[in-house]
Amino acid sequence: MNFRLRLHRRWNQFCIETSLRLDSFLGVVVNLYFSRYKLTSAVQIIVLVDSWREMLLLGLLRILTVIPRHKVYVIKRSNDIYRVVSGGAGQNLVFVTNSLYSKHYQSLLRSDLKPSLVII
Amino acid sequence: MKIIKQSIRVGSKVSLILLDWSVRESFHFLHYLSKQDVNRDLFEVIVVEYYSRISEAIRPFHDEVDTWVLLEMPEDCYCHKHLMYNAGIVAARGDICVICDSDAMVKPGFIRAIITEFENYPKAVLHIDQFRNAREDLYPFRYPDFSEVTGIGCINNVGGKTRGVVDDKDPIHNRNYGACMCASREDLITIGGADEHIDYLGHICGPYEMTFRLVNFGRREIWHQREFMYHTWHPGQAGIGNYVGPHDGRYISLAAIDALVNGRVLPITENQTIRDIRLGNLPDVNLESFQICSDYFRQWNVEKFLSSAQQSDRQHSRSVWRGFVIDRDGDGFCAYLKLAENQLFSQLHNKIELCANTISELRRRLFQRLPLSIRLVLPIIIFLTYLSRGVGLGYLYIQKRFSSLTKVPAK
Repeated sequence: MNFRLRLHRRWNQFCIETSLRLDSFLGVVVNLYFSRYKLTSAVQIIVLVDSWREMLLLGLLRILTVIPRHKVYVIKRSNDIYRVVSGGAGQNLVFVTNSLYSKHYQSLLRSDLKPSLVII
Repeated sequence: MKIIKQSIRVGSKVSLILLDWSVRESFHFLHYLSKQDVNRDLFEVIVVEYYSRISEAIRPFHDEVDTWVLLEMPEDCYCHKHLMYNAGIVAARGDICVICDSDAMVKPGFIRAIITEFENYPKAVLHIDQFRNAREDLYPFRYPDFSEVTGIGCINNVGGKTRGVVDDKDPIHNRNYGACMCASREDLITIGGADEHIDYLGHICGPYEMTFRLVNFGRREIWHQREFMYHTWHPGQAGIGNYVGPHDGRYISLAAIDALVNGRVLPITENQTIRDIRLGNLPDVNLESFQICSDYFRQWNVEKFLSSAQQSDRQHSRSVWRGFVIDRDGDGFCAYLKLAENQLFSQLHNKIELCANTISELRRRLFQRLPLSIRLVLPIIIFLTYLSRGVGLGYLYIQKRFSSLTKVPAK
């Protein structure tokens, strides 16, 4: 495969992947914003993302009070999900990005998080 | 459609569905099937050819094939594997349908492993991963030893298992979902068979689409930890130059991911025969009753489906955009917040629901509906995401290049 074709394919892959991840992440931000309307104090929101960048951005938006209080976990490996479950997240509302869910759906569906999942 | 040969076996447990679209040079999988350590009547072999070619590659293994059908699709119709899966499911008489590569090698315990796994987990969808060897000197196929395939040139051997099976970072992209998928025929009928939607036309498709819907249906996805398939290099295996439908950037179909994420069980476009079987409208199920929608001859035309008119007609009945679910509603579209699907937030459904005639108009109105603070931060998030991903990937690329240049060759 020549260099131009490889470059074209890589660029294409970068654009598609970034736009899909972005769409899902923006969806989480929008839904988090609207979640404040019906959020009772008994319900805690947990957001599962698969990159530190997304965690930082959510933290920044939280500081700017654009989105309500929430907990964020970065899931890099399937085993990380059990860390969230052991933290008692099963009783809460869990936002999951599309890209994270498609990577770790098997672990997520087998965990106690299943009833509280909101996949965006 | 033309049936060259039809199975007369009685009591088969497993139906193997092998595909060809006038491209296969070798069906050596059939050779390995003849070496299985189970009774030959326990499994049947179904070969589905998309066009009208009677493959010469099958002739040496003619006795191993139980059912051989030519779908006789027009030559100007692009290949749609899911149509072949459905023909195979209709033709299958076994309880377990196996959709797998017809140019892979398997060990003598392959069929036994599938049967045992389904005895242990009847409500499962089983996948078997594949060792892949990139050595070009193994082409044309010359029946190498299994250790030769997993040895020098093997790109995914990690301590005797495939990299995909041991991976827990990104299994969806590292496992070979198309190598071998096994599911109960009854389950496959219940979920409406393979999806014949135009998004699966060409290279971006595979049985994983059914796996995802089976998982949504409540079946457990299992990857065999000891049994594997073995694949050697051949020209055109990467599908370069083929038409590709919408994918996630790493060649997993977006329509399949959409099904997984949205919990969809039924296909977008269901095969009429599968539908009839599912609804019990077909008392006598046989291969002759398999129907191919006549619209496909026009829709899947090589020249036509590449035109922009066809592309714009691909809007699914349900999609998600920036956290809003967009449903096709008659001639128009309606959108509501994804969160409103949760019982705790169901009241938001009426509060934030918008309808419009076109998708673009709906998206514009949804954006206007967002509060100012969100509208201000969205472009900043978009910019920062592209920038950080670009810098990050560039750094990884340079690091990889640099490490390969400075690596000291092992003695």
